[in-house]
Amino acid sequence: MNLNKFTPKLIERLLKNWQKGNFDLDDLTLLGFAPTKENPIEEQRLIFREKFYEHINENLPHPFSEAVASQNHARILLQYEKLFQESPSNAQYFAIIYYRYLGIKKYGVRELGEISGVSERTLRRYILRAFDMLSLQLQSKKLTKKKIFTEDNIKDYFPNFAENQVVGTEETLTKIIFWLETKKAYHAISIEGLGGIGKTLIAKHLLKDQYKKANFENYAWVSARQTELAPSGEIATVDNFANTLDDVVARLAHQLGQNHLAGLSTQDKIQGLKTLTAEEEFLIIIDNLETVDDVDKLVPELLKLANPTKIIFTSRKSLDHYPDLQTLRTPELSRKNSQLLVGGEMARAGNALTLSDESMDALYQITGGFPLALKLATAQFGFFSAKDILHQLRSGKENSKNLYTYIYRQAWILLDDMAKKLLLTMLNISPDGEDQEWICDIGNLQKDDFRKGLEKLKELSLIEFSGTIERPLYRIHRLTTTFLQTDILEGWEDNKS
Amino acid sequence: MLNTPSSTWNKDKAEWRALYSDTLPQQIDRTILRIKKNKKNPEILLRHFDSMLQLFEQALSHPTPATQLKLIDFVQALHPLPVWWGKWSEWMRVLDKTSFVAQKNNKTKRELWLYLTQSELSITGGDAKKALIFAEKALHLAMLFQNQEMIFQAEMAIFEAKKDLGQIGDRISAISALEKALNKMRNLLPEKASQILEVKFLLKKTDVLRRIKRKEEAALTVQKAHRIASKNFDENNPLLAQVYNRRGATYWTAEKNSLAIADFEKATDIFKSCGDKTSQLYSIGYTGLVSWSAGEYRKAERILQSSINIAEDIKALQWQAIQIGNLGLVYYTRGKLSQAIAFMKQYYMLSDLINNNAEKMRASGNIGYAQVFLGNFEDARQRLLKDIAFTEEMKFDTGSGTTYANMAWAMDGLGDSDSALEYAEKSLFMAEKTNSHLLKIVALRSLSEVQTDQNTKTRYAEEAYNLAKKHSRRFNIAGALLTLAECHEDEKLQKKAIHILEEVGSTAWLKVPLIFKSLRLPLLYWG
Repeated sequence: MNLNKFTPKLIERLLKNWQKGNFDLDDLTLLGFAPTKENPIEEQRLIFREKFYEHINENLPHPFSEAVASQNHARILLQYEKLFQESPSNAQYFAIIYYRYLGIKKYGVRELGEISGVSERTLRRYILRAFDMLSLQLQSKKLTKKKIFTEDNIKDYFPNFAENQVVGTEETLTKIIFWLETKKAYHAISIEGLGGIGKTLIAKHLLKDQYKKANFENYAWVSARQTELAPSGEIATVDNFANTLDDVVARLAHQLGQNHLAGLSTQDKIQGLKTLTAEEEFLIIIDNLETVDDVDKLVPELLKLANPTKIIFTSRKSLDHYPDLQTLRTPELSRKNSQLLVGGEMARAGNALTLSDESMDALYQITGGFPLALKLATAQFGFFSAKDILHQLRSGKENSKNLYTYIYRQAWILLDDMAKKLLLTMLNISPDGEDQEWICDIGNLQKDDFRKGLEKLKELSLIEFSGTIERPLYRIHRLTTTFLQTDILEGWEDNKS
Repeated sequence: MLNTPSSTWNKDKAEWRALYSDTLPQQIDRTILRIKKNKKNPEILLRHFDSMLQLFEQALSHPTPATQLKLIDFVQALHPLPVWWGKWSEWMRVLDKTSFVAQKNNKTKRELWLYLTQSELSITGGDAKKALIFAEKALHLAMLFQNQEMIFQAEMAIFEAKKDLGQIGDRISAISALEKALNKMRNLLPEKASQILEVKFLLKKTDVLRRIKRKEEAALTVQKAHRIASKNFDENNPLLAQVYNRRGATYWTAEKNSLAIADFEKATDIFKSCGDKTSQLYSIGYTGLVSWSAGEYRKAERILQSSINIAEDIKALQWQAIQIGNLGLVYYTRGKLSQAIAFMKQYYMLSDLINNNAEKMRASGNIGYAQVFLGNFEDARQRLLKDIAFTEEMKFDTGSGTTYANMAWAMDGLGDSDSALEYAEKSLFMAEKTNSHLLKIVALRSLSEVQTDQNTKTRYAEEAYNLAKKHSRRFNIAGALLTLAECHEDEKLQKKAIHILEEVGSTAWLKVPLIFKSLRLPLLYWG
């Protein structure tokens, strides 16, 4: 509700119309209850009426409000009379409003005055004061801020990530953090760029940063899941769009503790969330908006939740055609940061070697500063000379479908048979990852073989980890899947050699 | 190694392609083994369902028919767990693709099983049209094989689909024909198979009898099913749970609420023990419905809300839709009008999404009832007209009667007193035709409010009050009292009504917009 619009005159008008609920269209619009396609005017009247009653009810003094809840007329009257035995108070004004406008039995001013033990004139003055009081109350209404998240359920929703992988993102992070922390800046931001550029990593870092600083009332992280990865490696269009938006909104509602919205339509959920996000500042991150159809339908709906809540999207496709959304293209790493990343990766792999400036220049030029490409390429150092690797990368980039294909090919060549077997087994597991036991069982791998293969894949940055300490899950990057499907196994279904 | 010539590269790829191709069928076999090993602990398998789907999708492209056919083994091994987990749409897609594999490879017997399964699931999903198509395909194949058991199963599936489509005029004759077929082939089947078929048939017969209000026969039929099932099946057998569900529904129709709840709770326990979450929430939902009909509205609200949370969590759309509709009714009864309408609309939308026409009509009708109390009489009229057309076609007499009663108030709101009276009288006629005292209460209340003559109004209201009191229908007692309070200008009667509303948790009705001249309560069959 638009609480600033509650002038005493308006309140008087609303109360007079309350019994029949026939509020003016203009009044409804003013208060933020304009009819919509989903909620025509009769329903908006009903919704507003109930909310208005709720507000007034909250101001009724305790024993009186209990009596009202019972709807026992004798009890209500008794409490009312008791109230007026005390000295004048705000509580009396609200009780008058209830009796005059909201109860089943209607009282005229004179009759009500008699019950209250005051003259008709005095009662009228009380009624006007009641309008003033209610107007002030509603205009300065502060909601109790509740912390919905506890430490326990954070880990259920928030993604893990390795902090040491956050390299070369300071400038981007600083910019976005500034936007997030400035009240009047953008309320919706889209972090964009190609696959492997580091969008999700940046988003994860933002979430952690803002959470530590407690800048927001609450936080939510939802990965808008792709539902099908076609054998070609392309993301297949989602058949039933409603499932995706409904899924995202349902998960948001659940994360934000709005379980009472369960069962309602997606629009009603959005409306419920909108009420919440309009009154409290949340940080909502929607990761992984990959399919164009989804983005074009999902984003406008989710944007309704913005302001003062902030929403961050990560997406491969640009959202710059949305006027209320600020886009930020994730830049490739600079030469300096690329070197830092390479150094970090080599250290992580236990590789004590360093790359010469010349080699680093070449690597940077070939990979274009793409973090994933740098990671994958770096993983191969130590197996062959830098010169050879760079030479092959250069010619590979020219000859291959794309740089990733070539890098992956090189990585594949470096794998032993066990690692290759493990990698191909990973094609037949959930894209979200699987546990060791399942992978071994289905792939007919002994535990030792699995560990050896895993080590090799880890060395070459071909495996990703998720899940929990108790149950770690293993998965491969989507680009790795694409490579396996479209290169190694190309034509396997036709038995081609 | 770095400068790998393309011939070496291609050779290497070919080797790995071949290896992948060879190991895929083995992976399917191991998956099937794992499923069989853990089927009694479905939770263990649930967390790997996405991986199973991934394997399935990969194997569909396998060049060897033998490997593709393993997918049918896989599906048969895993079924019905995905349905229990609420993965209805994913599983229907899997079944669809597997049917194609069976068809392509002329595996007719397996194709038959797949069609029957798809028919059954389509019924569960509320798509009777699709169910009929699958059932007819199954019958065709069963006739080719002259497999009596499968023929019977297909005929039962066709009956079920046609019943839901409203294509069976005389259900008793249709069910009798099925019974004759069952009797003929009973001795040709192994004992266990015969028992299972008989129980399934008896449950269908119970549904038919219950629907046409032959309550005693319905009770006897379901008791027979219970005797066979409890004697011959394991205590945690899902079919036994289905028997409890049906018996519970039969008790409910006979207004034996505590017996109904006891049976639904038994069903819930069995479903819980075998991991069938979707059936569990269905029987939980039924418990909520019974509580609602017994006037325990607060309890009904809690139960239904919890079942919706479960349904949303496991994304069981079909069950979610129905429970949402039921919760909408509870909110409506409690006077939480805006919530009621929101839920009824969601019920409508979900039912439309899953092509469940019967539920969609029910949802639309319920919205129509609520619209009367918003003063949106024209919208109410249009919805109720559609509802009447549907219930008349399906011969749901008590449904028609309740809608006539509500329609009377909608017409009254539109100022058409003649039509209002006509509908109200039609409702009373239907109540007498079906010998339903619950409908009669509703009809009398409807009639009383559309009278212009005060004495007639009072007379009908008193009759409604007495009848409601006789059958302890508290909500309708309160409704009749409010009418009488207005007739006699008696505040005491109003207080009495308010006291009842407070007891049942419906005082919100006292705060709804005053659409009519005086406060009214809705016309609810189970009120």
